[in-house]
Amino acid sequence: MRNTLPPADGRGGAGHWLTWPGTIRGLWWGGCVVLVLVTLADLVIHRHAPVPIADTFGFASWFGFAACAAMVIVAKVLGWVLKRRDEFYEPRA
Amino acid sequence: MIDSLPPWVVLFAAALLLPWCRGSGLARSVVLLLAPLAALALIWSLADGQVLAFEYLGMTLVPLRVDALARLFATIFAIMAFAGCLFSLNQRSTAEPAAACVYAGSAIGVALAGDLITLLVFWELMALASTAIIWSAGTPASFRAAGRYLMIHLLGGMVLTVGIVAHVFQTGAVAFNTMPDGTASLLVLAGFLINAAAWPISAWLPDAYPEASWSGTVFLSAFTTKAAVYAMLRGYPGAEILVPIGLVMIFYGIIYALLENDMRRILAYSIVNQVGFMVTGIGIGTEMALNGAAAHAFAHIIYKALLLMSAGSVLLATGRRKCSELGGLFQSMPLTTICGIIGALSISAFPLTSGFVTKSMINQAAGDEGMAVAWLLLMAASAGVFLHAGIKFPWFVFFQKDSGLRPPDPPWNMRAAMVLFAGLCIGIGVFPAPLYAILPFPVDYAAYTAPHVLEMLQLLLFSGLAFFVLLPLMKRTETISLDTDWGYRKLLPALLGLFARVAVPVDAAVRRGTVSGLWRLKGQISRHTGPAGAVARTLTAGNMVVWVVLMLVGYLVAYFLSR
Repeated sequence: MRNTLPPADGRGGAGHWLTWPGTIRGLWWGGCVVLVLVTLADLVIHRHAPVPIADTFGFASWFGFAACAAMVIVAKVLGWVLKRRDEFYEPRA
Repeated sequence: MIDSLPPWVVLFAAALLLPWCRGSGLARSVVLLLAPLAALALIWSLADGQVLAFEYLGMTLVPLRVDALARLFATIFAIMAFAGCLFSLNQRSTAEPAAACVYAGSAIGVALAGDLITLLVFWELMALASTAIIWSAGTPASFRAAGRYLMIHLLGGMVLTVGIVAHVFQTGAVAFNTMPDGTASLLVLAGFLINAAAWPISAWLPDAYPEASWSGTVFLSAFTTKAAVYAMLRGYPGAEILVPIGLVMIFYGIIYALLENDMRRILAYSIVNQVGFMVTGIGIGTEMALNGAAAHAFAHIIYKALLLMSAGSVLLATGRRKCSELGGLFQSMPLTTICGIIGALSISAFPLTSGFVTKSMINQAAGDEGMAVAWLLLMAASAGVFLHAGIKFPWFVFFQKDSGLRPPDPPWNMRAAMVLFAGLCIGIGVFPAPLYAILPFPVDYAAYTAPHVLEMLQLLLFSGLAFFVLLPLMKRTETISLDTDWGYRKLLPALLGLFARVAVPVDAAVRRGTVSGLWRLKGQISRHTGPAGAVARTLTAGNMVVWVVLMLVGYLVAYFLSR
């Protein structure tokens, strides 16, 4: 069952269409357009704001980005303290 | 008879039958698939109320108590048992499926228990059966992990037992309903929280679950923590302490999952994260929040099992667990990838998936109650879930760099189990009404409003942007992260070693000193009592007279002084 298909070319073969640079560029551009559109939708759809800050324009957009950035940075800083090699708990031979 | 037959009996009977089916794969499959379905049918054939009750040692035990909350959890436990058994049909271990049946049956037993004694019995059975599942992976690492897991759960069981005994002693009641205030009640809650993997006693989950087999982790993800959620929904609705506890669990799960490299450990940390949402909802305590917690537990069991099924399929096909060794699998495992993505979108509460219609009830309840800080934290956490599980898991396992691995999708039964649960994730997300209809309270909530859909899309899509922009900060490293289990895996053994290093020489010195002192004492005694010793010497009459005179003089002096 293991690896029954031939391995990937990895040296410039055509590969899967999802891996083509053009596809990836298109996904980035498409993604950016969607991000702008969902943020601009705030102009036409009024959201209920349980807290005053949630009434700001594009709240969930900037808040989502900022919260994730904060969590990634906190994780990165904590990682310097908490990370150990993955055989850390292995019993000594 | 059939209308009062406990559903867990069928699953326990299946566990007993399985060893006899070893020679026949067909018989084994039939038993494994029919038992959970029969249990599900029995759950829905039971009437509401105390279906089974009897007196025992002066207590009224109620092994079968049915209401909407009990039926909801028993139902999802049975559905989970069916899908888990379907997924694991080609598991070679004999012990694992039998243990899984006992585990699922015990979880159903907890959900249907009408008294604390019955609850405790099934609670402990769950601990033993889940330990057996971890242990049955058969690796040295799983054996050690099972030992640590059992240690924590026996501790939790002991705390729960003490709490229940104290509660029964104080109140004289064994019925399991909303618990009163008091120390006994707090101990019972602590016992529940240990099983819910509440921080700081949370590391047992990411330590043990990923060490089970490719199929074992699927079962483990469903029952223990969600049975604890059920127990808290029943016993502690509106307990305010649960709000901060739940919020800590949420962010603890996110941060550790972000640091993690093992794909199944990422998902294990995200169990703690998701249970945190439920615990927070229970703490908020309104009907909306409790419905949200119950519905989210239902949806969570499905999408988490789906995620772990896709991870299990990858593990079975490649033998690899580390994100740093995986990638590019979407090319040869398209169905596993799609199912994994559906699970990832569901856990992230993406519109049209189950998480969207369940988790949002908890956020809504926090907003409705004016809990501004909790609402903001839940919003941040919703973005964080997409970050750590919604994108990170599928990205590093199925996409990112090409690992060169080209394993095919797993066998038909594993694909069928994944498709079933992926269908349920989308089905519940698109048509939430049937789930809402079986929640404990009437539902007055519409998930699909334009503002809500827009808010979640903004939150999740910008979370996705943050992931790809900050990807260089999340480069995978072959590491683990220290967690609270460091205390009993490293610190405690080190302290015991230190104690031994100090105590052994002190002990030896004390022993040596005592023995040589005793020998010296013996020598002294021998010297004085031996044939030539002072004690053995014969005294003359003259000496005796002198001593008698001295005693009399002493007596006279004492007499005159005392007057």
